[in-house]
Amino acid sequence: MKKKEWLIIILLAVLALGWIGFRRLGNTGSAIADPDAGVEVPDKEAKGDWIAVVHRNRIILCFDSGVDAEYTVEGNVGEMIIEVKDRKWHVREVECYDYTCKNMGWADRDYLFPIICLPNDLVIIDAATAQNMIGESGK
Amino acid sequence: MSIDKTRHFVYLALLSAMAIVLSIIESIYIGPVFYMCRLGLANIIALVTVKIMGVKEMIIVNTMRVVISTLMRGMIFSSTFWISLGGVVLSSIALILMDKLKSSLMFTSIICAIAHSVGQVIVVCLFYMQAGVAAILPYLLLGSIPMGILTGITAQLVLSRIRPLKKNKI
Repeated sequence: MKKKEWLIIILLAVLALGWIGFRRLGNTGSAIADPDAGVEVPDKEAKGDWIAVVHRNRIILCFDSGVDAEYTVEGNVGEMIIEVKDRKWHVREVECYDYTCKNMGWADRDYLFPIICLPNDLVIIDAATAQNMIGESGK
Repeated sequence: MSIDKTRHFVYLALLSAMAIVLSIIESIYIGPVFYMCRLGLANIIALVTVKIMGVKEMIIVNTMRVVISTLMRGMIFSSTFWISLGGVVLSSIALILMDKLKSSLMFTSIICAIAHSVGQVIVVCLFYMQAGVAAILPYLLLGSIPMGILTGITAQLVLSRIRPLKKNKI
């Protein structure tokens, strides 16, 4: 590989790392309520973090990761059961055909990826990022 | 049909078959590496095809790969099909550009892997109105680099071994 090509690859890697860092820093702020969202992120402080479930660019559920509970949401294909325990959350059951979201296992505030179920069009992501994403795509 | 033309079609069919088999094996037996990055084994065939046969043939092989592999898995025209198509279209464009610019095989492979991820994310964002998926793009970009290096090395090994075939006018 030529020197110029190595430089481009390094630049792309640095860009991706910078993007990740920027996102993580940006998410430490409080969530901004979005009037167009299906469910608003509560104003009160969560015991853990506010986590949003997004379906077709709308927040359909917002839960506190500090409260152990089970939630059921409806996607395009069928139901998804989300279990929250010890400030961690995961997809316990889902009606779809590839189970990638279920296989992703437990997520917490330091988890790198949002849990995504494409057949159901559902994304489980921290509320601040969800609102930023919805806000950006709505512009 | 001349012998050369027949040979050309046979090689094209063989490369398409290899790409389809690798694509199916990867989706069924090899899960995502590091949560969501896939190895992209079928990209090895795309790289080999563009180097030994040309751009037109690479487009045929890639199209056959997406259509037949999703058809065989019972997912034709499903979300998987459109997402795969998005990735393949963008990676094919990147491959054509890199071939025109006479870039090294390794660099071409990395750029194709990145383009494949970007194409898939664009399809999900546009067609499925899931802007949240864009959050994984930087992770996919980072993951695409080692995956691209891996497929690039494999394609290089393959090309060094099939050089005698090239002399035989594929």
